[in-house]
Amino acid sequence: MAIEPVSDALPCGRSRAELWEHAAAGRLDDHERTCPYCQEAAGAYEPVRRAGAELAARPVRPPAGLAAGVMRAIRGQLVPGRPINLPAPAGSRLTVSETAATALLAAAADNAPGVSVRDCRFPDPDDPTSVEVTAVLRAGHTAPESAAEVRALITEAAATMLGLAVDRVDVAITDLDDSADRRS
Amino acid sequence: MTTTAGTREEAALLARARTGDTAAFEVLVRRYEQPVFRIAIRLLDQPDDAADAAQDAFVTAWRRLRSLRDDRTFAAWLYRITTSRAMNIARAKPRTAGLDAVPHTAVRDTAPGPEQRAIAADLGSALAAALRTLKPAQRACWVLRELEGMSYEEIAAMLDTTPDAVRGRIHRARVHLVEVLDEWR
Repeated sequence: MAIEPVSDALPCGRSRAELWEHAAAGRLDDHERTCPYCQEAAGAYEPVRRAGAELAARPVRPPAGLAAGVMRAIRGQLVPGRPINLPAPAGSRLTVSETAATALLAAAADNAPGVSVRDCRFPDPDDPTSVEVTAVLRAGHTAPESAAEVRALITEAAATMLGLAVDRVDVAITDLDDSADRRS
Repeated sequence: MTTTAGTREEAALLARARTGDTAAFEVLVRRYEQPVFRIAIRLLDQPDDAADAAQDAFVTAWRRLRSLRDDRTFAAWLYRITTSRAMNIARAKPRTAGLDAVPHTAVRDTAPGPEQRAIAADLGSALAAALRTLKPAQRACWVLRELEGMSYEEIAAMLDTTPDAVRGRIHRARVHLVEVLDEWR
């Protein structure tokens, strides 16, 4: 790119860099507004300023699948998450990774009739006796009954596999699927 | 940037995301996909490249969430990652690449000629074409300053350089853009 070297100082002593800075911001000072050299240099910047304003005003819309793609990538490479403390003999420590534990519980809850688990987590990872499940409920099932199933399955899986006494399972139904039940 | 209440709510989402809560992070992804994509496309032109940079930025942010010390700086931190991803893509490409895919043909030569004026449909498109001929670092400085409205200090932090270096790059970008857009005076 052959760019002619541009002398920065204008004949009036002002610097072109500073003048363009002011022109870009639309804040010419008194001298710059009246000095012919400054006026000439400011005029040269005007198309860039106008074009910049035009570009800046153009609406930019992210592609429709961007967020979904990000979430797919993230869920596909989940990091182990925090270590969750499990009951252990005095003087020793037993932990399970949060991701492994919530994946186990989510899979168990998914066996409840009519329920598709979207998310399963420990609201407070320091207290794994409380679990929160987000799920979709399919047509033909009743929310309280399905939630009771979810609670029972999670409590059982936590006790048998992790030795964990879960005493609270909150279920949030975030969507209702009223298409025909695809599962028995 | 954000209100105090917004910052508190964001800190809560970040705290949940750090524990591996993907749903909490998804709220942040949906909240920031517009500005992140906007910065990326302003540095890259091509929607596919910009989408790649944006996705890469979010996935990187997710992986590095624990290294974010101050939750109030999440947006700036995310934009910094975005800029860095976009610059990597930009540096890997020849500067006037992608001529066929862009709606308005880029300038092949820095000398403004009549063919260039005939090709660029409007002043904004002429500038978009001119931006493609800048070095990625100059372009990034100019774009972050003039289109994103950032200060020299913010841009310097974003690009891991000094405010003086940013000032120099912006001026060199301006010299070049003034020359290319001279025909539009």
